[in-house]
Amino acid sequence: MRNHQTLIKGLLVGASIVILGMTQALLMASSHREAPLIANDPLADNTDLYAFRSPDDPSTVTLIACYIPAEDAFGGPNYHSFGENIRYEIHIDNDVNTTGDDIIYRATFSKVNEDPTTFFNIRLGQQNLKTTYTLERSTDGGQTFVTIVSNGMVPPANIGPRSIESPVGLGASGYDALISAAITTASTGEKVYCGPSDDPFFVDLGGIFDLGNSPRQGTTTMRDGLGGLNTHAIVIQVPIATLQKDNKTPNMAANILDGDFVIGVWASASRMQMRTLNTDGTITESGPWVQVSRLGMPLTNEAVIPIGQKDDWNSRTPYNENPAHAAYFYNPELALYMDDALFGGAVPSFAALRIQRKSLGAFDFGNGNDGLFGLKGNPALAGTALDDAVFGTLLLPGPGQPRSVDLWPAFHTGVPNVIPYQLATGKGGNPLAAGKPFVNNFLPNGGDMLRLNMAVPVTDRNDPAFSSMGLINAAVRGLTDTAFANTNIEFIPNMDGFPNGRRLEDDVTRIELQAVAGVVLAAVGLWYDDYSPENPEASPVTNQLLNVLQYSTGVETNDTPFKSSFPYLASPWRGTEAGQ
Amino acid sequence: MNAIINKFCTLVACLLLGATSFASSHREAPLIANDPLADNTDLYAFRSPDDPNTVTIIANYVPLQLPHGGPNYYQFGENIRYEIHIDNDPTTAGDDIIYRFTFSKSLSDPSTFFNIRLGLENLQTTYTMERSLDGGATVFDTHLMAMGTSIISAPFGSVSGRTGRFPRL
Repeated sequence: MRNHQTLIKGLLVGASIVILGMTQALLMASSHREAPLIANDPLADNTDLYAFRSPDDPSTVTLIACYIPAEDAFGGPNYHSFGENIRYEIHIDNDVNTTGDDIIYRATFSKVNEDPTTFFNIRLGQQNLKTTYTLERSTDGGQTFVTIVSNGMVPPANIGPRSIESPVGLGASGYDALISAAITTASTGEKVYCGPSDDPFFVDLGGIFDLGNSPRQGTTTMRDGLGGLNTHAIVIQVPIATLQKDNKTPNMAANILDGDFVIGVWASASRMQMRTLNTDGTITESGPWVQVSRLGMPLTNEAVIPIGQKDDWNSRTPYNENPAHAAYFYNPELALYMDDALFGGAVPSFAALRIQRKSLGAFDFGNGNDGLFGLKGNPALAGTALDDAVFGTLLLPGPGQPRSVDLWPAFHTGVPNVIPYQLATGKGGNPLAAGKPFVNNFLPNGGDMLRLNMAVPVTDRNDPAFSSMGLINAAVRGLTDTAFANTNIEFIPNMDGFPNGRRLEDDVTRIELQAVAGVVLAAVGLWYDDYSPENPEASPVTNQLLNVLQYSTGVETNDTPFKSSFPYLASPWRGTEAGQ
Repeated sequence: MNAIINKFCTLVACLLLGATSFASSHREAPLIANDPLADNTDLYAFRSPDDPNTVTIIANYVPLQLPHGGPNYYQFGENIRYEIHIDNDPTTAGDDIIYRFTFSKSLSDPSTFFNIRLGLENLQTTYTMERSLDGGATVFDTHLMAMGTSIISAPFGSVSGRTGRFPRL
């Protein structure tokens, strides 16, 4: 309430545009510099996380965790690399019946100077701050770890031709040869790369920071704000049989939405509790390990969690989420700006995004309203995911929490293949009827994680149907393509995309903004306000739905192409070539 | 020899935190490259062209800031002493004048994820500037206390938000 009054005041004094600009700013950088403390510790700042079935090897899943935001390729003489005394971890939950992580990968790095007599990083075949890593794996929730890669090589920075290719440098045949040489296979079968890459995230940061101007109004000068910048990636390609809780291969799945093939993935960085700055210029670190950064779903700690809570959020795991943070999903701040009854008029760039206030003439998903809670106890809910007898109060926790049925499960529980979470296709106008299945990544024993159903087939990246809109594209196809006009479980292109896992190409910013605008509700038959349920001839594909689907930030692809094979990330920009 | 030293070293400013090599001093040593808030990148000292009876001293910190580096924009760090040291006498040991800056931040509205909203700024930064005339041996005199709001505006803000001039040397 206090917030609302403050905002009303803001509108009156004409200051709201500034606020809204900042909203989008916060939204857009996936997880770069997203919380006050971690912004001061770039080496441990987890910037992006991906999990997808490998397009060129569908018996595996590729996990990518990126760290160190906005690296300048020419950032010498001590170029960017992973930090020492940091535990970089990728966590996997694959079983709703076990507490906490089921598999943990932990990478730790160390550096040596091969020639301490020079100030150059690379000279005459020798490299200073040469970085190697140890990769460990735990399959008992972190109680014990087994080393699966020893002395793994991290390629040097892509400094320039004299350092990389020339005889006075490393004499390599090219930078990509260094990447290839650094790819290794763990003793347990995983393919691994740890090293620099192009920052794979893409968004028009410049426009967004200009008072929420995304897409930019009245101009076309949109560009990827992370273009030309590097990051450091840990890439692990894991056989699905290793990740699946019973070591099943994907061809053993009951169907392409088999719930036994759901994994939750999150990443973190931890540091030792104490750092001593010695008077001789050295640093000593000691004490127990403390988590300083984490990442599951992109943008959670930017767009959802307020600044006073961001450092707290980074310190937690999906298994001990702060209960108070649930409110930020049930009534998201961003939704205020997609609602004309609240503050929607203040952000011209969001004009196409409007939330259902009277879906099917009855259901109000505006902040502070009840959404579907009015149906609580109604026999119509019997046997659905919203029935207390099925999942308890997980999805309908109380009144005044309208987004507990869509944004909450998307971020915190995964979405089950249970009514009402099926496409409207075949529902005959009743969202509580059985429809066409399109997702099952339900794994409710943890909070914020990237959830992937590994049984879902891969959409070929060269398929004309491939779309960076992920699951939203699959939903649109399932609703509009007559080939899918049935209620069978069948593969629809892009069912393997965000938020069913996350592919490098997925435009998560656009997808999440559309989701906040209620597009998931529409997909299951809770249509936009301009659909009249009384008119049986009316198409649910209304102008408001089309407006939401057509919304774009204007930057929909990375500034440089991804690779078609491991490690998929584009090679890092070269220090002598990358500009500003 | 002393005369030469006198002539060329009547004003020598040096900085507490690192100083070597190429990008003047951006990311110049292994450890400080990992601590950008404390990374001293450049130092200038010149007679002011528009006021030649003064000298202007500029010390820069925090290398390679992305202008759109939000949501938590670049700023000076807390719990860091940023110091400019002046030696003006070859017969005294060590510094003769030291300027010390320390910064603190506050959240004006922790309930929002915005950096600035309705005149309230999160991570709002203020500073204390102290001066020592005895080589830092005794307590510093506080010359300029925090100036209230928006001494140094956070996003996109230049570090020269204050219009006041340093005390004359």
